[in-house]
Formats: sequence, C-alpha cells, structure tokens
Amino acid sequence: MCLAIPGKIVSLHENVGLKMAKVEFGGITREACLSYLPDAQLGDYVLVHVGFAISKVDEEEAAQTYRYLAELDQLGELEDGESDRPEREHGYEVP
Amino acid sequence: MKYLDEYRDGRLAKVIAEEIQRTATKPWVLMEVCGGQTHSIVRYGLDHLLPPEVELVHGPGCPVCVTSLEMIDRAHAIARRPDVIFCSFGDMLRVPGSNGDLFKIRAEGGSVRVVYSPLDCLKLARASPDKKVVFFAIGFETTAPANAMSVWQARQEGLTNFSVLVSHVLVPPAIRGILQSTGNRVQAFLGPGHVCAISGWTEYEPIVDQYQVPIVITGFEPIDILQGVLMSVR
Repeated sequence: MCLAIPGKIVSLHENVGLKMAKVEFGGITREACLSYLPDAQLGDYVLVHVGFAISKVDEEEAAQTYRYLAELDQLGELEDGESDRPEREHGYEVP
Repeated sequence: MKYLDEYRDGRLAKVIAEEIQRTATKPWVLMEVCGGQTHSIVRYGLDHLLPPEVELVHGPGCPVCVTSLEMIDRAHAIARRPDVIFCSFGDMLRVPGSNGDLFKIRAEGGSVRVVYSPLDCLKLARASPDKKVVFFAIGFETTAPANAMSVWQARQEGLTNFSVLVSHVLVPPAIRGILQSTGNRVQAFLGPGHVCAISGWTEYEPIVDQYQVPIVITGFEPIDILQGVLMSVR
C-alpha cells in the first residue's frame, strides 16, 4: 500500500458525485479518484496511491532531470575515452 | 512507458553509481525513509551497485510496520464481531497481534475484506446496510487524504454504517526521533517523495538546519534513488 504508481489517464467519468478516471499502468487499467487533482486531463500522467491520483507527473521536469542525468553518461564517456557509442536520447539510441 | 522506462535504464544506473563512487570520499550512512524505496533498492539490487563507502539503512516509513500492537489488537477485536465487515489494505492481514492475525480471524469466520482503495469500503457499506463496515485507516501523510475522502463521501451519501479505526502517522517526527537517538549513525536521508507530493518539503528544512544533515526528497524508481544518493554525498 505504500507505493504510488505512475500511470496515464485513458478515460474520465463520474461515480457517486466523485470525479474518477481510468488509469493505465503499463497494460493494467484501474480506477482512480481525481478529487485531489481536479484539473487532471485525459492523457495526463499521474501518480496513483490507494486509488487516488495525488500528483501530476511534470513532463518538463521529468525530461529535464533525465537530460541532466544523461549528461553524466557523456562525461563518463569522455573520461573513458570512448567516442564511438551511438548518441542516446531518453535512454534510447538515436539513429 | 513514458518517463518510467527512462528511470529504470540500467546503463544510466551504472553511470550514476560510478559518479557516486567518484564523489563519495568518506564512508556514508544513508537512510531511505520509505518502505517503497526499500522495495526498489532490493528489487533492482541497487545496494549491490553502490560503492562500499555508501551504506543504506532501511527507514521507518512503512505504515504497516509502525502500527502499534495496541492498535492492531483493537482492530482484531472489532474484526471478530459478528456484525462487522472489517476492511483493510492487504499488507495488514499478516501482521500479528497478541492473538494471531486477520487471516486467522477470517479463517475462524470473521468477515475480513481486502480493499485497494478506501472508497471500496463504501461499496460494501451500500451493499450491506445490515452490517457495520469498519475500515482500518492506517498510513502516512500520503494515505491520510484518501482515507479522509472515504469519510467525507460517506457523510455526503448519508451512509451511517461506515466507520474508521484511525492510525495515521507523520514522517518528520520520526526523522527527528532517529537524529536525536544516542546511537544514531545516519548522516543523510532520502526523503519520502510521495509524502512530499502531499505535504511539500518545508517541514524538512528546519530539520536540515538544526541537525546539519542532507535530506534529498527522492522518488521511487531506481534512477530516482541513485540520484538521491548522489545529491546526498555531494
């Protein structure tokens, strides 16, 4: 129960007066209450804990943090003297 | 999945671990506060990836583990009542009280139900008006609002057969307790990301100032945790 899982809102509905959503977690879809995140929209990524969306995943921040961490990788390559690895973006090789 | 796969990138994890090794010039004892972080560390073997200078100590942030025996015994006494449907998160079922656990009570005929969300209890309350539905409302700052919403919603609907046994706990006093203990070895904390999604981080700033320890609010994916370790040792 202590986990909060990030998932994508795939549909919106109402249940007994509460704003609800279907949220997809890598293939599994569950219902989540949006009462604490009333601005969440279809397609948003949200953290869900015990059936409640508690926070939106800030796409820009997630991408920026990843870019910053990926820079470590490039620094490591320079130190290792390796230059023939393909460039990578968001963890995947860029052709 | 977007923003999930990237934060589980094994190659990047290795690079950050190497950076931690370069940065950690003295032995460090770090505590990850949340049970969810501990779960990730063990699941992905992050403790084996870190240099020997960095020791991770598992923290108190598991609401199941820190629920008092007295509260568990109360829950069991309620769950044994024939007029009660007792609802709990699944993690609590194996936790022993003075006389067995909730599984034992269920085996003896008690009506014990596992719920995914506190709102599930309301479905049971609507469907069973002749029973008292009692929810064991445990949790830290992350879970308390969800538990509270079930109470608010029950009132909105006029459900009179729903009640909660409340056992909520807070993280900052637990961190202070650890830092004040005479045998404390912890030099930095990976703070609880989900708790701070609810309550923010301002409660942690006075602790950093008073005890001069780094607290890095950290997520739960492997790359999040390694980044938290790196920021701590920096």
